[in-house]
Amino acid sequence: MVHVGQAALLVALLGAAVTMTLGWKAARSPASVSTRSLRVAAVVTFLGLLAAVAVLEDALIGNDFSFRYVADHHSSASSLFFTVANLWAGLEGSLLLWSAITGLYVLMISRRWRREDEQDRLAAGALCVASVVAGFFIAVVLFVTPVFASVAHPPKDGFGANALLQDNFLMVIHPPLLYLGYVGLVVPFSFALSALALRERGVGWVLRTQTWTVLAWMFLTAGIIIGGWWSYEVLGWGGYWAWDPVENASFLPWLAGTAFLHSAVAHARRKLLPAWSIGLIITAFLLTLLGTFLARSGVIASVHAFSQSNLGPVLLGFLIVATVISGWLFVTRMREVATAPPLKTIVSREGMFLINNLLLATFALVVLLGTAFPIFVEAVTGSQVTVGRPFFDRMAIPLSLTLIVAMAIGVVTPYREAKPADVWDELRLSVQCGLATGAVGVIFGLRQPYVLFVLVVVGTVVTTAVRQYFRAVQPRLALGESSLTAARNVLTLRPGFWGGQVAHIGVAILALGIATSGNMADRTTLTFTPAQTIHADGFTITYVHPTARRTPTHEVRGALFQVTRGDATRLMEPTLHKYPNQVQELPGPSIWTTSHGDDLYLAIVALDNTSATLRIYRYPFIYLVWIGGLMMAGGGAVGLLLRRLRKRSGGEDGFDDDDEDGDPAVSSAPLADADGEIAIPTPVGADLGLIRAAAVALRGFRTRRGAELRP
Amino acid sequence: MSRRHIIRAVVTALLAGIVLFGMIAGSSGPRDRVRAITSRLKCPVCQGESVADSPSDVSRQIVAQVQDQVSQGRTDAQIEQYFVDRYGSNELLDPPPSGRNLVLWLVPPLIFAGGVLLVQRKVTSPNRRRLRVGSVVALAACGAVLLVVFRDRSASDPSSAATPPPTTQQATDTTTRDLSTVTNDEMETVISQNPTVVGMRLAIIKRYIADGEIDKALRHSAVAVEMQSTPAEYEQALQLHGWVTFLHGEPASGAKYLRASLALAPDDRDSLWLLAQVELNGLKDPQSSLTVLDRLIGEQMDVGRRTDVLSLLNVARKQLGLAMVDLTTAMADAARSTTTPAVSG
Repeated sequence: MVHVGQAALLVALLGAAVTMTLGWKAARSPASVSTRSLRVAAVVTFLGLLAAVAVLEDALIGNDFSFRYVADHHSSASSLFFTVANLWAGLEGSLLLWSAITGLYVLMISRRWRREDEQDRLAAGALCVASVVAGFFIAVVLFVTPVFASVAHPPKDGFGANALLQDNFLMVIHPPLLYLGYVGLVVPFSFALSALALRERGVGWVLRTQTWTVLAWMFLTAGIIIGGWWSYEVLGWGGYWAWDPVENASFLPWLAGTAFLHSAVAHARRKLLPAWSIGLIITAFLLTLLGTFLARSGVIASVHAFSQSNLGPVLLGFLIVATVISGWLFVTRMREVATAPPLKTIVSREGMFLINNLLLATFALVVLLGTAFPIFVEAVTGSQVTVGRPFFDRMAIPLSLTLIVAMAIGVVTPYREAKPADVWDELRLSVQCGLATGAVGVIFGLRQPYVLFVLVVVGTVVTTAVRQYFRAVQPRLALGESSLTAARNVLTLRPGFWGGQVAHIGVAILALGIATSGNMADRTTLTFTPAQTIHADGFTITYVHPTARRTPTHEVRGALFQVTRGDATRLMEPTLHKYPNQVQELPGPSIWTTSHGDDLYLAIVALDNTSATLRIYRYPFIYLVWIGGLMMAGGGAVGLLLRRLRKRSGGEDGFDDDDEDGDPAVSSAPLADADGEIAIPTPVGADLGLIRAAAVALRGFRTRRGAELRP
Repeated sequence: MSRRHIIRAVVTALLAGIVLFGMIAGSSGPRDRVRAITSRLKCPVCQGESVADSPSDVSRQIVAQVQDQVSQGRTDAQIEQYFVDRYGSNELLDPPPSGRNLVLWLVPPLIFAGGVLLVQRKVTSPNRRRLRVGSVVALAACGAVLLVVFRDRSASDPSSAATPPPTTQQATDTTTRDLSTVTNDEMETVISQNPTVVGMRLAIIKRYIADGEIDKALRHSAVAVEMQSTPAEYEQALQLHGWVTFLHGEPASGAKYLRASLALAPDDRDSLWLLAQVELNGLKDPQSSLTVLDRLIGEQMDVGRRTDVLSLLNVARKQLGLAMVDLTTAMADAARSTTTPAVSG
């Protein structure tokens, strides 16, 4: 069966090579390649990879320990669910999954290729780039870290996956989400590179890849958040983000991708910042490669571990080649492809996008510096240096706080040109609501500076979003639309904007969760003897008795505690897990999310028959981190969903092609010119008349507002 | 200005005042210095975790020491220096701004400054002058922050201590990592195919001990002590067999083999440590255990092990009715007498 897998991968590699060649040819002259052959090649690539995945899954489910991968990463005791997930429990398997996802994206780009369209050399070129990436990773799993290798003497049972990866649902979905995100960035990257190579001007590549960018960003966000959540629930050190190099490796492309997401809006709508967009997406993709290199080559554990497998040098080689080629294209072609008028002023939506990009890019470079510095120092001087949380916190806190403030201001800043006074007029009520939120916090005894600051921002951002919505809906209601129709029309008119609003509220909530759990936590370490009761952090904790049991996969030792606060009582059992393939016991913290909104987190430090030593953490509102984070990802989903709705109701394909002048969100700045020029928004549905009427009503509404603002 | 405007401004100012009051009240409160310091120290036995976050024994010991020093009124800088002297400059999670570490402090503001200049170039407008002023202000703020940080740190700047000599940690790490990819069953297969290779047998004994499978360990250790091998391997076989027989419930036999192992290598810290435990917990002989522990305490060892040794020493002394040794002072003494940074054993 091992050979079947190898054959499938060979077919996929061949398919990728053919796709690459045909894509190259089609990019030069579309007429010379038939749509069909190109699509067939892409389908073959994908099917080959799918077959390879199927072979490995079949071996895992069928406990075929003659596969080296199965023997190394699977044991017959695993449940079916975790058996399936063992595909990505090991290096080789996860690289196979990575290649398969790349293959999927290649297939999807090929569906978009329109041969009859002479201009669609862009998609052909993108297909060529994407299949090079796919081909590289297929070659890696085929030759460098072969996933299909056999064992001469198959063991009766396997080693099992790393114990940390077992028995937790979050860890099962974390890697595929991350890969979908990482690899999804291949699509905009390929299109950007293709545009550079073909000297294609214009916004075509950005418009065509916006969906992919949002999708990739959404998966990446969800993947990172779920990784943090898992770390909190499973690792027992009481945190969710340690700034460790592997975490940073996923955060880097996220930062660059988020910057790209924003500059792409300015690019698509106003043809501005094209060079930034191209530069950012290239950087984001190169950072995913760098992240893979850092996480997979062993270079982090030690520079010396780097040479232990061929994977490190091969990945580094690919990273260098990709950097040189895209860097060369960027430098030499930039002026031909990306000519944009300079910005009139920084006080404009474009300007705010630019500031967002500046902050996110700085953030990314700083994280890169902190991550790479110890590796460089060790490689050059041989001595070790540690760059840990204090460094990253010192850099991340001011940058993040500035970012969320810019986020609150940016949303109400109009395109083109604005006066700071107008922006303030627009923002004032929201800021007042924000301040009121903060003041309520203070009255209820909140005294933490960071938390209060973020609370004000949360209030501001939420109020702004709600006001924007009602202001857009109001004229429609006045015209007699039902509230449901009005909501639908308002939302589908600007899918990207509303998706962004959801994501921004998510960011604010996430920031609040980080601030409360980081700054208001209580931490104690206590030793209990059986039946002893200790009062700690507002809880009454009684050690009931030690526990022990066996599960099919491992042994569990635990300590049962009765925890009381007020009327609420809980039995909590933090545990230690002993897996046969793991020397050290792994902690299994016990977490109680109370009705007060805080988490009580118990983790065993030491446990014997006479006593149990416990770390006790109390984290206020830490669940806001997961809610906010998933809401960010949800914002992406909302944007995509609204876009679909709009397409279905006959609107145009795009995220935000309403013109800024028809945008009720903008401040009254254009009115200051008193030119009264308000474009009719893109028709939604068939009822053009209604929309015209709405626009007229809108004009009246705004004029009234203008009058009110400028007495 | 209309009355409405004034009311609005007053309300805004009032709200801002309340929030500001809360922020100032919060930042002037007492700071948890112990937590602040320990979260800047690296747990010496973990991978990149801070002492504050790590549950290891060593970390708890360090937290206690920091608590002690804070209550003695020592400054943050002095306390950090104390630990840098003991564990090397690698001990700080936040590298001090000196020497090559300056890169970490200078490059981020430079990146930001470069970005600001880039943004400035993108904008051409009558407002350009204002923007330029804005950039200068932003950069000046950046510089000021840096200056404050430097002045803050210059007092606490621990002289960039010499890098610790390369430890043997790396080598041991890689070997265990290599072996860890082999299952117990695979090892058993290899051993049954090559019954005369002692090394593999010793490795699997250690693994069975760690797994708590004493019977299986005993089967191999009993064979290992009967085999032809190098003196070093024989010494280790005796040591492991002694420990396994003790775990199997035969302390007398365990002590016998451990003593035999010590006869071959009198300075073997592992043998001494195991023997001390067998004497105390198995043979209930605190006096002999204390003799062994006193021998052991003079040896160099890492902090975690020293803590364990001192704890056991105190148990033995307590049983004999002797005064307990103060852990913190003993640790500090040991650290002072140790000229080279502790080597993980």
